[in-house]
Amino acid sequence: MTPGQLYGLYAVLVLLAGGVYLAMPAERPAALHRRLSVAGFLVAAGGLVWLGFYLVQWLGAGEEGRVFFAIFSVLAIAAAIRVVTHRRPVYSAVYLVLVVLATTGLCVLAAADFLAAALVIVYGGAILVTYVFVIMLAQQRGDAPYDVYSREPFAAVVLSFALLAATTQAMVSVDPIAEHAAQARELVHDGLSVGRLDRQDAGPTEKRKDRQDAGPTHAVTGPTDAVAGPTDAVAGPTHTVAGPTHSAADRTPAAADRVGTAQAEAKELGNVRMVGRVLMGRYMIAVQLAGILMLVAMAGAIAVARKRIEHEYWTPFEQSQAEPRPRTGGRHVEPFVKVERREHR
Amino acid sequence: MSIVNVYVLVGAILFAIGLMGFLARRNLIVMFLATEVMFQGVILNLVGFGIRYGNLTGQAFSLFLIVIAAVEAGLALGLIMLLYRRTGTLDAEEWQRMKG
Repeated sequence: MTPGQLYGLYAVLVLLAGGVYLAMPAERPAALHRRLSVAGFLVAAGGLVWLGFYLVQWLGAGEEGRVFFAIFSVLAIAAAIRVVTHRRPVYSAVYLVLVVLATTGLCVLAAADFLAAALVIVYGGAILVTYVFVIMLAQQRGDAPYDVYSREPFAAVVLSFALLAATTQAMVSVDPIAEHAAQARELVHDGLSVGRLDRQDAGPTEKRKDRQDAGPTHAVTGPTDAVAGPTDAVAGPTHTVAGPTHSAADRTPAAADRVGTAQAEAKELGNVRMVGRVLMGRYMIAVQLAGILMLVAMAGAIAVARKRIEHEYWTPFEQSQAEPRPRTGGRHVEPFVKVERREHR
Repeated sequence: MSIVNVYVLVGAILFAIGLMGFLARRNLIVMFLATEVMFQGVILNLVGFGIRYGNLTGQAFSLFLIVIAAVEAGLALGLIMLLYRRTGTLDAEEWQRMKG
């Protein structure tokens, strides 16, 4: 990635930051705020279009569906900006559904079919529905002040985009410390691995269970994909790899055979079965722990929701909400149901 | 710049936007919606690393992450309802001064 492109990426991030800052709810007169937020959206949209062009350019001509990467990425970021800047919580929840759908699209492009389906079902179908219900239960009449104003938006925008710039910098340029660490790791692994562990390739596969810990440590300090071109070109449909590594590092014929058959097997079985194998094979204990966690959390949520507070500890708001008990003097009186009409705007 | 960089970059941008929403908004529910946006960024990150290393660890971890997100959403919303019952408002600034 050329320095010009890197600075262009920073400019895109600055445009996004500026747009989001202008669009955040703030203490301004309404007309000015409307104009500024429209200006903010235009600025952010410009940044996003620029980012889309960059993504299409960076993916190169080798990727057939690169336009879809750009479309889904831009859609996800635009919807995320709307989640964060919209004044009404219900719209924030709906835009979050759009973020989830765009993320699902990106997962499908990565051949992560099961993950995509799980995201739609669990996030869109359960979590966000719960959010919408709670928003409806806890809503105020009209625009509440805490929706119209935000806390220190400038500091928040500056800090989070500084973090983003640092992350981007770490991702796209190679810094000498990471290179040194990568070389040190190479020396350690040279004696252990089947082939030479190049900088851009993988560690763990399902077949090499004893060397599992080698992989994830590579990911932390990122020696980047500066030489990653060949890696992605080796396995033809790059993203359908399920089990084994698709690196160029396994140069021994036996390893190459193993990779080839494993890839063919993965393609035949499909993503869902391979994910099932991984989950139930390698991560069985984690699955059980996740189940226990869900059980505990469910019990906790029920306990929290059922909590009754004694009368003498009621706050003034709760006292105002309490229904006065009718004095019937022994007669049976039909309960009078008060229907309250609330104006929704 | 390969496909992995695209995933990691978009994941980082989503994370930053979610972080910004969490810091700046006052409505408790919208703050938690911003954390959900952060989760989406992390999921994209994990999928990208799954492509990079050529295995399904990233996707498996993403599934566990969905579990955690669901659980956290349930508990957080329960607590938010409790807080709302206490004060009648969803404002986070209401709880700024913690009474010991």
